[in-house]
Amino acid sequence: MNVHQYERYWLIAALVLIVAIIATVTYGAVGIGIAMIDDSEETVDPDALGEHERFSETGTHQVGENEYEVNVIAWQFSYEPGGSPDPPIEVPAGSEVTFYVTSEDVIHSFSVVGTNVNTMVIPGEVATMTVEFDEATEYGLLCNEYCGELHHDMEGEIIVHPEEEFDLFEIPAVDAPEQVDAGEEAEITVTLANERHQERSTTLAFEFDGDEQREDVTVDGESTEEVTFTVDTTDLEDDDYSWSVTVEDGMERTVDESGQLTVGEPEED
Amino acid sequence: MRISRSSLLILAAFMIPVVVEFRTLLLMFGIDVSIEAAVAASVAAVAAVTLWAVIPARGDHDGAETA
Amino acid sequence: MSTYVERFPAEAKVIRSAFYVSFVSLAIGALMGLLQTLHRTGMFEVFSEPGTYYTVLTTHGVFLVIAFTIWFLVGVFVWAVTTSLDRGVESLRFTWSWYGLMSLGTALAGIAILAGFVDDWPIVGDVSADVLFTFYAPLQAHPMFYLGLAIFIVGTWVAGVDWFRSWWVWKQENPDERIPLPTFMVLTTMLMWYIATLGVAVAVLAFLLPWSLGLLETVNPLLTRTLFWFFGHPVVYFWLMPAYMMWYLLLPKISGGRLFSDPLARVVFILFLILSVPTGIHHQYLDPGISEGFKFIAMTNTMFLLLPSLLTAFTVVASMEHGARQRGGEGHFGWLKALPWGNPAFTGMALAGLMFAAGGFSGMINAGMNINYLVHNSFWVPGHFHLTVGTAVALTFMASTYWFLPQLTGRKLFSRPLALVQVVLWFVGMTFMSNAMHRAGLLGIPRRTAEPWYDGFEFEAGVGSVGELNAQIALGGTLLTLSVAIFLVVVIGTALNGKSSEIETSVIPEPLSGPEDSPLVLDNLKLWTVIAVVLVVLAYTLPLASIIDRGGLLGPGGRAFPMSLDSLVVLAQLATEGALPR
Ligand code: HEM
Ligand SMILES: [Cu+2]
Ligand SMILES: [Cu+2]
Repeated sequence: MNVHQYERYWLIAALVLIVAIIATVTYGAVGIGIAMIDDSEETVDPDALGEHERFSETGTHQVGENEYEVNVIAWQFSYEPGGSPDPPIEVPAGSEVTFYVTSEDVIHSFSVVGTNVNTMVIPGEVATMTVEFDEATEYGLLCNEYCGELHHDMEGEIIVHPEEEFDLFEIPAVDAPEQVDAGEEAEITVTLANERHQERSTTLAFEFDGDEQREDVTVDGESTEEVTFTVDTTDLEDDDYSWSVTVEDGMERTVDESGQLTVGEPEED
Repeated sequence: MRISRSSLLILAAFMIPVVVEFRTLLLMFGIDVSIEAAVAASVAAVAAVTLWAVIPARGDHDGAETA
Repeated sequence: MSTYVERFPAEAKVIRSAFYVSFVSLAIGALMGLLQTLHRTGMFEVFSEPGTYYTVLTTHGVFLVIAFTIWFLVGVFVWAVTTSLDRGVESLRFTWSWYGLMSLGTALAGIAILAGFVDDWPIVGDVSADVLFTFYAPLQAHPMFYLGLAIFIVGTWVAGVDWFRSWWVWKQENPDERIPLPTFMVLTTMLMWYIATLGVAVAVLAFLLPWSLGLLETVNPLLTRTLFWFFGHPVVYFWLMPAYMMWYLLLPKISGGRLFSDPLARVVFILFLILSVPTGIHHQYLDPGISEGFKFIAMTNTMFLLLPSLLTAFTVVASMEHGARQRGGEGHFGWLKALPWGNPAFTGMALAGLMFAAGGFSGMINAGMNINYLVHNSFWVPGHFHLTVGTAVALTFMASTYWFLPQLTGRKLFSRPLALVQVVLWFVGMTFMSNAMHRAGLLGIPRRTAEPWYDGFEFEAGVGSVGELNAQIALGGTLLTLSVAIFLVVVIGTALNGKSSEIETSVIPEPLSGPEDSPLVLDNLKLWTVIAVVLVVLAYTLPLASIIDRGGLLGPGGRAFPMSLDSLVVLAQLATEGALPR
């Protein structure tokens, strides 16, 4: 075959270019270790995420000294957590965070604006990516895959808190009577769980019939404390009263519980 | 005409990406040219090239079309 | 007998009819493009209900990259086969039958999409297909959409049979001759197309159509998506190869010269045949459920697919230079001046080639597995493909129309200056639009988004501002639409022009280095097809098996999300509950 000399040079240059590009990309993947989205997670049933081990507990969880996992469900047209009506995703600075993202309906994306944290979210599949958050800041989150009529409204937020301000409290249980006789004291015992691996302090605010009681609590890492609030019903008329208890930890995510206390005879239905 | 009308058209077209991105380039070096100024400069540049093309060169009499 | 219509009047009619469908699609698509640019840049609130944007975008995508391009290229292929074999089609009836199938398919899919502009139809109720041209499940279109698509593709298959049949008969009569280059290009392109469309055919016929009819309850979204991209990347080459064909055949001729090398052109088309399909997974770098290894293989194949394009760049420039020197051009760069810049067909194709070089560059970025994370699904991506399919292909097709129309009608081009302004305007408009899209994408602005402005954050431009970029996009889009309008004026003007006898001959000059220089093995289509199939099997068996193994053929569950759901319900809930319904 008759190949012109210049053409031969060009061919060689083209091949060199191609091999060089492949080498660069390979170096990025193997040398620097830029991880790709892959098939490391099992598939899930998008209709039964509520029973799924991971996705029944959406949100941030600490899994190591400064390692966290965030489980997120994308849905038409927001993120749980991350976007309205759920609170933003919250993580501490200086941490290594692995996101596990799936969809309960159609294909979305989970894309952190201005970064290369970007993945498709496919129903049935779980996308995982590990990100290091060095500084306290805020990031926008958006869906860049068309997912239906209100796709352009699908957004969220990631807040990176200073490490020393980051809390992961839960209230797994509240022991409260439903009814007390007038004049008796009611004791409401709140179990406060610190899901961080470090000892953390916070304030519990208890409200009953407009009165507030506050209690500072320190909880060891990965353990619980019980805090008891006492309500004196001496001056109260027979009625139903509501109470609530809130963790005042400065997080966007509210952790609270509430209930009702009947003073006197419960009303018959 | 020094160049044919079609060549002039092509030349003007080629100036556009240059003009558009020249402003960006300057911005990268911290020189902020306002959009109005950039548009004015580009109009001036195209006008200059057009003038150059239209005004016959010395010795060029009837503006021979080349293409 | 010099013009095409004199030699093959019946075939010229087929080609004209295909071109006209193509141009109507272009007109509809361009109008949608204008609405998109104006709305999503915030320049002008076109849609009071932003959901309409997605009907518009589906129309834009499908009418342009499926209808406009493919209708045009089947016309070109009829021309290429008949002129180069110097024989008419074997049976006009057969030819019109695929034309009919493709028309039926276009009509069905088109109606399903356009019906989305009206909320409720009498009797049939809500019909719509706002699923964009990628129709990812579980978003679900009306069955008519999938049916139309399937019929359209079958139409193209039958068209391929028509061309193979011509070649076969010709070969019986000319057993010792090399396949003429234009026919060779058509046949290799069609072989590639047969392999590529298998993916979408399976996705549509086995899964999406039965699912939209309610025969299947669920589908596996990752599987149908992967089958789509099995087709979705090579379809790019289905558009591009005819454009290359124009660059190889027409451009040298119009430049006043001859093609540089016939053998190299053959090599390029063979490379496309064997490498186009096993690359589709590069559109899925960000997909969970596909392992890194498979993505890596797709990446390497993709990079090698640069080779035929780089070779084409050489041949095209070399042929142009040869032409220019024939016309008296001199000097290292001086020959550029001797090119026929006043000829819109030439200038359009040359500008298209130039923009393709830029598009190829941003394409290399996209193909880089890791850097892709930065740009995937951002506005950068439409910036990229408006240079490739939106210019390298679209502008080449429009420019070559200026050469074809006189050949097909026997009428003179309506107005050369107007046509020249048209192609230059496209170049200018696209420079604005595409450049700004690329830059907007780097700021994180997403594609396919009616109103890319958000409550919780803003996009930060390091240099310049988002507003400027939007202005450039809107300006570019407006110029492009104007350019399409001028194109249509020239086409209609030509169709109404009087017959002329001064039309140049349609005969393509012999290449400088002819087929006698190319090894016989290049014409062994069986061999190349087998290699292509083997590569596809290697690249796709394991990923597909793994996807099916993980999620099942019909997926791990999940409902369908018909796009014809009444939008008012959703909005009403939003208004009354202050939050989106779940
Ligand atoms: C009048 C000229 C055109 C204008 C103003 C225009 C404008 C646009 C814009 C603004 C988008 C992005 C929409 C978004 O992502 O939100 C878009 C998408 C697109 N355009 Fe164009 N375009 C034009 C011509 C073309 C041509 C000639 C082609 C191909 C032959 C084309 C193919 C596409 C495709 C495939 C998409 C992506 C659709 C999707 O994301 O589903 N466009 N166009
Ligand atoms: Cu979305
Ligand atoms: Cu591709």
